[in-house]
Amino acid sequence: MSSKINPRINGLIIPQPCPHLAEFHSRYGSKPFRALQDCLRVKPPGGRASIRRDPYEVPRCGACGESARSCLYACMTCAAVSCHAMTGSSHVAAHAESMSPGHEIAVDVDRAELFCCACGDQVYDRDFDAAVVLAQTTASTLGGGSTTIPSPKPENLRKRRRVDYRPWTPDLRERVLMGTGSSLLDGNNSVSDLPWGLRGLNNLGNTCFMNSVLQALLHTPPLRNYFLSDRHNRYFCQKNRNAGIAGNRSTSNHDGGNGNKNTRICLACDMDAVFSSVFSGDRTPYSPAKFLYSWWQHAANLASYEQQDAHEFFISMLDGIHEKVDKDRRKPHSHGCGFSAGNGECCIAHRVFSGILRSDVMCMACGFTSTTYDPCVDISLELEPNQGNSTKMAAATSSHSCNGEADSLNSRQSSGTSTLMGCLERFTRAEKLGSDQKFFCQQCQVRQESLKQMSIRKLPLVSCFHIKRFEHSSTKKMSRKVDRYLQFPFSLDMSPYLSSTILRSRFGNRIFPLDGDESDNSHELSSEFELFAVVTHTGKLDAGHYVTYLRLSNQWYKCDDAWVTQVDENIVRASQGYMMFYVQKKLYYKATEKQVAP
Amino acid sequence: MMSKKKKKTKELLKGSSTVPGDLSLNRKGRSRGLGLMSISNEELASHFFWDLLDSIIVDVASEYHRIARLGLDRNLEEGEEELKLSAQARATVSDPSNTNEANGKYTVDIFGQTHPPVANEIFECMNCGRSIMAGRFAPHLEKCMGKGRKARLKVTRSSTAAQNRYSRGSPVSAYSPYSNSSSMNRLANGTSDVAGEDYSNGAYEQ
Repeated sequence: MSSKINPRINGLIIPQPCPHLAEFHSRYGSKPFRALQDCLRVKPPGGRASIRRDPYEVPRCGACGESARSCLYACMTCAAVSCHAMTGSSHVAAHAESMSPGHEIAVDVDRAELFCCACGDQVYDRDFDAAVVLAQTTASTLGGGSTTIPSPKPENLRKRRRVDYRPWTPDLRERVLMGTGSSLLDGNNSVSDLPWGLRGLNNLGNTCFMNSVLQALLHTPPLRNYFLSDRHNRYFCQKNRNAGIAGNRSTSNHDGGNGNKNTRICLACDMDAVFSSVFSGDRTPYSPAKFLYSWWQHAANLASYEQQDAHEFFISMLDGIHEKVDKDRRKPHSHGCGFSAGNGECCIAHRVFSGILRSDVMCMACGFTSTTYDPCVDISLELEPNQGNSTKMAAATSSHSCNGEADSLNSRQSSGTSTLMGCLERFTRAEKLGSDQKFFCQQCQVRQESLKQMSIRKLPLVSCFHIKRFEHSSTKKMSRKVDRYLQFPFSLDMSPYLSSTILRSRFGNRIFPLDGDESDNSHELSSEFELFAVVTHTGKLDAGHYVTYLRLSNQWYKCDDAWVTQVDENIVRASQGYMMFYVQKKLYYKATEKQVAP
Repeated sequence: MMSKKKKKTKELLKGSSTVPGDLSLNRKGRSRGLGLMSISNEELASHFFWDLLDSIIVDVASEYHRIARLGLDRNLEEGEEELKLSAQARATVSDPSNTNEANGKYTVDIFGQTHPPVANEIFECMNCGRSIMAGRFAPHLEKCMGKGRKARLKVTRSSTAAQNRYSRGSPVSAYSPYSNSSSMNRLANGTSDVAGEDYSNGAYEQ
C-alpha cells in the first residue's frame, strides 16, 4: 500500500486509479458511464446490480460462446462480452490486447465491478459506483417517493453546531476575580498524587446500585467538566426556584402541599453538591444521603431500599436531571424539548449521553424502506445466545452484508467468548421480521415480509452499554441472572455500527457520498471510544453487589462503596461487566492528563 | 466452511494484484466447452456444480477485494488483540497462585483508611430531622417517607403526584423499545449487611 494519503469519502479510501482507468476517464470526459446506466439491472429488494443490455439477455463470451462462466466481462469501450477463464487463456485479456489501446477497462456483468484487463485487477471508480448506487436506489423505490437515499432528515439534525477550539487565558481582571473568589484546595498531603475526585461512597443500606453509577458519573469527563466549571450552581438554582415558587404561589394556589415539594427537588443541584464534596480533596467516604432522598422524591415508584437495579437508577436519574432543567428552561413549551427531536441539546444529561438510533424497515417484496430515528441515552445489548445454536445467520440475506458478518465470525471462532463487539454486531444486523409481525409497506399498500435493521445515526459523547443479564422466562414463570462472561475492549471503534457504514454496506460498499448527516466526514474521529468506567454485578439476582472500576490517568481503581483500591487491569478485563461507559477518545485524553503544577 | 473460505480469500486478496478469477480451485478433468449431447447426467450435474461454486467464490473474492482496497478491513485484527488480552487476564485472575486483591477482604484503602462494615457516619435525616447512622439511612428513609413495598398499597397524595409526573411524557419512555422495559430487565443488589435488621434500630433519638 502506498504511503501517500488517498482521498476519503464516507470512511472509504478512494484508491488511485490505474493508468488505464485514468486514461479511460479522460477519454470519456465527465460522464464515462452514461451508456452503462441503461444496462444496470437490480433485482429488488436491495439486490446486487448486474449488467444486461435488455432484461432477458443471456450474455455469452464472444470468443467461445460460453455463457455459464463465473466471470464474464463486457468491454467498456465496445461492449464485446468475453470470458475470463479460471485457468489458462483469458478471452477478455485477449480482447483487450487485440483491440489495444483503449479496450482495457471491462465490467463484470454479474457483479457490476470494473476490471482492468491490462493490470489484471478489479479497479474502483467513484463515478461508476455512483451510477450503480443510483440504479439500486431507483430499483428499490420504483420511481416512487425515494426514501432510502437521500434519506429524510429531521429538521433539527441539520443544525450541527461546531465551534472551533479557542485557547483561553484569563486576563488581568479575571485573574483578580479568580484570586478573590476561590481558595486553594487542601490537597497537599501525601496522597495528593492520587487523582482528584477519588473518594469512597458510604453504603446507606443496599445502595451500592446508586454508588456504583454515581462513581461512573462522577468521572464521566464531560459531565464532570460541566459541574466543576460551575455550570449548574446549586445556590443560584435554588434562589431562582424559590423565586419561582413564590411567584407561582401568588398566582395559583391549588398546587400547594406536595406539589411544592416536587418543584423544590432538583437532581442536578444534588449532583452539583456531590461533585463539590467528592472533588473537595477530602478522602473520607462521603454519604450521598441527600441525593438518595431527592432521587426517591423524583422517582417515587423506585423508592424502596431493596431490589434496585443500577441501570434503572441510571435511566431514572438522567431523566430527573433532564426533566428539571427542561422545565426551568423552556417553561412555555415544555413538550417541545429538543430531546424529542433528537438533538440532545436540552440538558447536560442528554448533551452527554444522548445519541440517535436509526431503524430501517425494508419491504422484502419491493425494497421500499421506511426509516425512523429515536433518541437514546444508552444501548441495551443482549448477550449472544449460547454457543452451538448461533441461529440468526440467515438474516444476512444480502450478499453485501458480509463485512459485519466476518467480524462476528472472527470473534466467534476464538473459543466461543461473547464479546461486546459481537453484541453490537448483532444489534445492528439486518433481522427478518417474523410472519406474525408483517409490516405495512407504503408502496405495495399491503402487509409484507420485511427486514429490520438498527444502526447508530449519532454517537453520544459518552456511550453507555447496558448488558441484559436478566432473563425472564414467561413459561417457567421465573427469572434468572445470566452470569456469562462478556469480553469488552478498552478501546472501541464504533464506526462499523454507524448508519453511514450500515447503509454503505447495504449498497455493496460502493463509493458514494451519503446524503446529509449520514456523510459526516468527522465520524472517523469521533467514532473512537475509550473505556473509563465499568459497573459490575456479582452474586445472584436478588442478593448481589455492585462495584465500579474507574480508569483515571490510565490506572484502574476499584470503587466498592467506601473502599477505593488500586487494581490491575487484568481484574477489570476479567470482570463481569453490567454497564460499560465509553467516552469519545478525543475527550478522554484531554480529560485524564495529569495536572501540571503551576 | 464459508467462513474459512472467506478468510482465506481475503488473505489472498491482500496480496498486490490478485485477480478474482485466478482464485478458483485448480481442478483437473473439467473440460471446457462441453458438447452437451455427448455427456452423461452425472457429468452434467458436476459441471453445473463447479460453475456454481466458481461463481460463489468469485462473488466472495470480488466483495473482499473491494473491502480490502477501500480500506474497510482495518480493525479486524484489533478485535483479536483485545480478545487475547481478555483471555490472558482471565487466566491470570483465576490462577489461585496469584495473590490478587480481587476478592480478598480489604485491610486498608489507597488512602490508608479502613472502614467499618456498616458506615457509622451520623447525620440528620432530611425528612424527619432525627440523627441516623449512614449505613442504616436507606431503610430508615423508606419508612420515614412512607415509601417502599410495605407502604406501597397505602397510596399517599405525594406519591401519586410523583408517579403521574414520572409516567407522563418523559423522554425515557420514548426509547424504551431499545432499553427494554425496565421492570423486565433489572438486576437487584442484595441484602448484604443490614437487610434483615429492623430499621428503627438505626435511628437514634436526639
